[in-house]
Amino acid sequence: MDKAWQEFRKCVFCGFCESSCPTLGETGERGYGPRGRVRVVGLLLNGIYSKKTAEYLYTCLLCYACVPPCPTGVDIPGLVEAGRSILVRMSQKSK
Amino acid sequence: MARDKIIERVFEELSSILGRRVSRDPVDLGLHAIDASSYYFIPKDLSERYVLTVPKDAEEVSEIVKIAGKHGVSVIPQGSSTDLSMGSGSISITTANQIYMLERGIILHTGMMSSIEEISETDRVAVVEPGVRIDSLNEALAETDLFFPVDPASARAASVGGAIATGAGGLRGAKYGTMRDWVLGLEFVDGLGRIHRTGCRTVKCRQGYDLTRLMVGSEGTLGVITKAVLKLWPRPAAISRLMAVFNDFTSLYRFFLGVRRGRVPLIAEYMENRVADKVIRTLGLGIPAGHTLILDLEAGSGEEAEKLLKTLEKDAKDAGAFYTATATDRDRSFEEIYRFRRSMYAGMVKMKLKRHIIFEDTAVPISKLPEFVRRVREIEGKYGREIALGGHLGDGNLHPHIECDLEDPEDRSLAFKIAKEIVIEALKLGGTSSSEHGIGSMKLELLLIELRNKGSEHTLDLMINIKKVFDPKWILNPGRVIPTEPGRKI
Ligand SMILES: Cc1cc2nc3c(=O)[nH]c(=O)nc-3n(C[C@H](O)[C@H](O)[C@H](O)COP(=O)(O)OP(=O)(O)OC[C@H]3O[C@@H](n4cnc5c(N)ncnc54)[C@H](O)[C@@H]3O)c2cc1C
Ligand code: SF4
Ligand code: SF4
Repeated sequence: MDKAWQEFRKCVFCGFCESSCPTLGETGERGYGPRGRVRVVGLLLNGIYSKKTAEYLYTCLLCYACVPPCPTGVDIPGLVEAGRSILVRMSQKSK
Repeated sequence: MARDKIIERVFEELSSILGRRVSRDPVDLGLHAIDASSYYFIPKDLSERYVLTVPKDAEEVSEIVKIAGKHGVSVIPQGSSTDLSMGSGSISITTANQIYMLERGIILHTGMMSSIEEISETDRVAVVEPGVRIDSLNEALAETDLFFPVDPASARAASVGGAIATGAGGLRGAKYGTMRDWVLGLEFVDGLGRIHRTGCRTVKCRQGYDLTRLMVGSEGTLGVITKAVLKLWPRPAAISRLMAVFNDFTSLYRFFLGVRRGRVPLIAEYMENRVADKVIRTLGLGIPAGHTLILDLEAGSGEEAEKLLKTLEKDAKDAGAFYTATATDRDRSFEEIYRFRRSMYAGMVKMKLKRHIIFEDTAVPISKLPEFVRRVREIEGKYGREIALGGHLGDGNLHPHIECDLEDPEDRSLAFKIAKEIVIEALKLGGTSSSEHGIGSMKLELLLIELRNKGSEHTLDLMINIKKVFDPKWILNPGRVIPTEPGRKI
């Protein structure tokens, strides 16, 4: 958790990563892009989530196309995976 | 917390027009409630008071504004949220340095209005929707011999609408000016939901008052921009790029003045030694840190560019540069040098995981730059707080970076006090407090100081009256550009 939080805190919300993402799509819906996904994990770590959390995190292809343009070196796919693990833990707990 | 009744009604009415393109999902709202100057905050309970809308054309924007007006709910126009003045999210700051969130709001995201409708090589214009990113426009122009010259360091993400609304500048500011020089015409929706079309697609255009220019830099407070006619320009035949690292600012400045004699560099970017050091460490580059200048000069051909670089490099070394790197726009390393510059802001912030950076936006006349740097260093010494300098040397727009813990009101007060002192010094030297990032909510007090300094405080009344004409219900991005009553404290 702490590691994910530190990684999330590296993001300065500059959006440089967005245009390389194949899933961002024409609507520009932020959650389907890397900047959005990083923030989605940050929100999750703060107890803010909804059905959209899984939607945005599980549509990530973990393709790493967003990593080279990031000026602060956020491990975006790693953070997405951390977010997915939290969701798995949450669903196991609720069973 | 109970859902706000007004927001419930607004949501229902908006849904009947926009369908699924309206959301009050806490995650969607969490992604849009902040911008690049307020991302540090993670506001809670957004669904109770906020709605996100993603319209697809001017008619839908008009309907959104009309519904907002009917219920007295604010509209926050938003492009890519890279604003650095707390201007495009829900979080604002008052002149009394209090962080707050607007009571209720409709975030109007232009992400879906992102078509390039036309590129005319003969007329040298592009007609674009506001959500188009600046770099995407230039990618679309790659097949032509034209380009769009305004290049904020955020061009990879920044939208045309956001750049127009902030009056953005960029690295090539000295040569090509800012957005106000490149917008020929606009379509926008005012605060009553009326759609206006101003300006022309010709360079010469007189249409009574120049409302197109007034909209540039209005930061979403006068209208929502739904289309723009932009002027294009022939791309330079070739470019010579030099990176030169000096031991001190004075030698770098002298070299820059020499290069500038008889010509205007395309870009002349400065990074002080501490900033350069941070960026080098962030990017893991193996180059020495020092006072760094990145210079682009236009050349008539690739050959000429090569030749020019040889002279430039020699002159830089003669002037005291202890490290140089060169490239023409035909070389691979050309982009690498630029990436170094583009990473400046992010590199600075990343080094301060616990602290944020207040990113100031002063400019002074070129002749006053050494004196400005000296006075900034004095202020730094007085408060013992790091103030790093970097930015657009070519047009005198050096951005002082002040460390600040935004969440700590005392620390915030100190950082803003320092910012004020820097601005006062810039004003004394004939400069300005806000060059390209806009006023947003962060620079409201600085705007007042600047007007007062010019003996023109009453000009704010003029601005208030203009706002009332465009937006009589005062619903468009309130609390930005012109001080208004704050919403809920967070
Ligand atoms: C790393 C980094 C580097 C930067 N470098 C520069 C630089 O070199 N030069 C520079 O000038 N700026 C720079 N900026 C600031 C910022 O990127 C620019 O102001 C940019 O133009 C904002 O575009 P945006 O699409 O992100 O706008 P947003 O942040 O979404 O909005 C900015 C403002 O415009 C309004 N707005 C947005 N769209 C519309 C619309 N369609 N109609 C009406 N109002 C609208 C918003 O309400 C807000 O007030 C930088 C920012 C970052 C993070
Ligand atoms: S890793 Fe995920 S977020 Fe990054 S570019 Fe690929 S799909 Fe997009
Ligand atoms: S490029 Fe990096 S710092 Fe910028 S928004 Fe994307 S993840 Fe965050």
